[in-house]
Amino acid sequence: MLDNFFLNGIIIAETVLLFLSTNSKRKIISLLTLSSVCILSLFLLINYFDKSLFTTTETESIKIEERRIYLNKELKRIYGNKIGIFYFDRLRPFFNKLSSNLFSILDLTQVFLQYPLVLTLLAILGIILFILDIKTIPLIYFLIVICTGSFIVPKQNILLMLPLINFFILQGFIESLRMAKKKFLKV
Amino acid sequence: MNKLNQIIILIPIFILAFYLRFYNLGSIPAGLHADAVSQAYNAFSLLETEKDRYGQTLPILFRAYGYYQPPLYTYLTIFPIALFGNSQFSAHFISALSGSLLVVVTYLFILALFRENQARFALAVISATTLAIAPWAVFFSRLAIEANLALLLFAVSILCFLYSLRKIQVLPFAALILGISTHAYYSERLIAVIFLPLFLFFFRKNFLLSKKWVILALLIFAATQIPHLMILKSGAFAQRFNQVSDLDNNSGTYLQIINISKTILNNYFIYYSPKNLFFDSDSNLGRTMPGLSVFYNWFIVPFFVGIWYLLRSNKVSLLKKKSNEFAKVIGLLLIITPLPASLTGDFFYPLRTLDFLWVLTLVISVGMLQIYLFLRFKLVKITILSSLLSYSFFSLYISYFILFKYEKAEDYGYPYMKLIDKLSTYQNKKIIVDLSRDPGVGVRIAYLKNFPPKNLQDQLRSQLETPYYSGSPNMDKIYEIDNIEIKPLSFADSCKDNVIMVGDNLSISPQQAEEHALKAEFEIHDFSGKVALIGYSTQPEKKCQTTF
Repeated sequence: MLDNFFLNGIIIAETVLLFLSTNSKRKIISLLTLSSVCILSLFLLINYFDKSLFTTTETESIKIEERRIYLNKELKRIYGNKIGIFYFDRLRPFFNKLSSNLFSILDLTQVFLQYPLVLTLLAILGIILFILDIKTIPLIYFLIVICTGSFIVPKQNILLMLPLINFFILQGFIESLRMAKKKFLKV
Repeated sequence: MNKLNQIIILIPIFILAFYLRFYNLGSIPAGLHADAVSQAYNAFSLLETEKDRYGQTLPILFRAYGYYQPPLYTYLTIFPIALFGNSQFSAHFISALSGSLLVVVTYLFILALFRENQARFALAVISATTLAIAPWAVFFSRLAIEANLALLLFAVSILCFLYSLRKIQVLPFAALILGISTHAYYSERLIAVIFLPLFLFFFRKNFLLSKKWVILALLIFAATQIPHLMILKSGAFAQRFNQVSDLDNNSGTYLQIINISKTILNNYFIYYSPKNLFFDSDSNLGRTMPGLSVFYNWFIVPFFVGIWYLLRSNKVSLLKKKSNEFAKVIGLLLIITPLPASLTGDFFYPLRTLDFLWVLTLVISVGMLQIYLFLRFKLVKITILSSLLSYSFFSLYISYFILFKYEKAEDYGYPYMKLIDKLSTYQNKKIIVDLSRDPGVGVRIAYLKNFPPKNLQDQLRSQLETPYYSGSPNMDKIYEIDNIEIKPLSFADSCKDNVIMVGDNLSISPQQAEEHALKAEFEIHDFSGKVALIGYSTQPEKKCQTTF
């Protein structure tokens, strides 16, 4: 209950801070924005750290064992040495899981499902505007989210992206209002 | 750069593409997919009798297992079958050739698109190389995929459309190729119809002065659509769309329209999801190989840079000279190419969106060039480039040429291909092979045994329950190929003498084998060594004694 209250509060606060950081030159706003994402990341890392990154399930073990046979047969010495075994049996599965987490943060379709159609369209407009004119603070925010989110279990790490999506929606909304106003005034 | 130098640069890239697509094509993938074998046998049948396996003369669409296959791939497969005979290599040949030629077309496409840019040669080389090694391009080129042929035709037509901006006389030819591409794959039907008017509209300034060429091009395109119109009301024309689409036909209310729009929009964005494009390695026919997605995961960086360039191409960029044609053409293609796939109910199905993946490859290549130009020191450039290329080749080799071969052999009917060799030692027995696990078993055996098409036509024509071009074609057919009968397994046959029943562990479990007094004769192992099929000989004297 308390956790949910904290999460909701910090997501709303971050959305506001992100918006303010792009419209204000005051360093304190930028500092607060980046501090708050660090706090949220830390909270999620403590509570939802993806332990499966360093362990293997029974299904994964079976798969590794099967692949060990295939690779041994085909690669022979390239696989059958300490480095080869370490790479294929340990390092590769770890990086696969890590990149799975990383890419799940970038999978915006998951987030869009939770928003109404209009807001999805506004978010897309906001993303395009952001790409056209990249702002430093949201970019740093995004990089922090990617780095820390890779170590948080999928479905929870998406929480880190919500303030950014809200920010894009807001940017998209403002831009569409501006466009509508321009058109209306012309008429 | 003069033409000779261009050819000298292009040759090694083409050889690389050709090698990755044709290397061991006769054995990897290990087997022949049901769809591939349907096309291959129909091509064999056309070669011998000018009719498909159901006895239909020169079909507009080919009836397969409960659906219809677009015709062009099958017609073109007649050539490799005539040259190389009934083999796995022949069935996959057209797709592999299309994938190789696409690399050359891509090179020319970039040159045409960036015609006034100094970096265009570098970009063309990067694009051709990226396409040559891209996992999706290698994977789908090595399967008998109509979409791969359709992509080549579509790319050629887009290239001709670009040429037509300089030389209007090319426009009718571009429209002709675009029209033909609609007979290669279903997605092209929608893409072509949307692309043609939009392209003409975007570049209307170029075309307004040459209206007669535009009218001629439109007439040619319309003429290529006549075969579609001929079967428009038969049910076969839209049958595949009705099968794969998840759109509710009864929808009408405002809320339903909103829900459908959201579903389509969500399905549409699934194709832009970095997770699906650069990571998700869930492998099946419609997706890609084990451990790799449609692109290498490091492609994500040039992808974002390429998108950034695309959106800013009318502003300042590292490529210096702006390219409005690039923004218009690539932007248009990026928007329309995922549309057909997003109208279907399947979650991320790259097979249906090869055109989109091709366009993304171009965007990624633009990103790569920008990063390359951004890096200052030559040593850094060479180190990064060689490391990434080595990593890519290594990943591709492990995923496709090793893991895919072992882990997916069963999906491509490999055990049934081994079964044909095994059954040659049982010529004096009646063999019954279970059909329920894989609809392609009968056609696969007929194809690899060079079973005379006339005989198969006689068998299959009589089993058609609906007209050839029907909205609901029936699936189950019984095949009799020499001493082999392929049908859904029935234990009533265990009472017959001198019979061998073949199926997997689900068709005939050990308990059922015991219950019906079946004696294990042989086992067929798949590539990974697991038992895939078991042959049991019947013992009617024991079974019938127990039963009666």
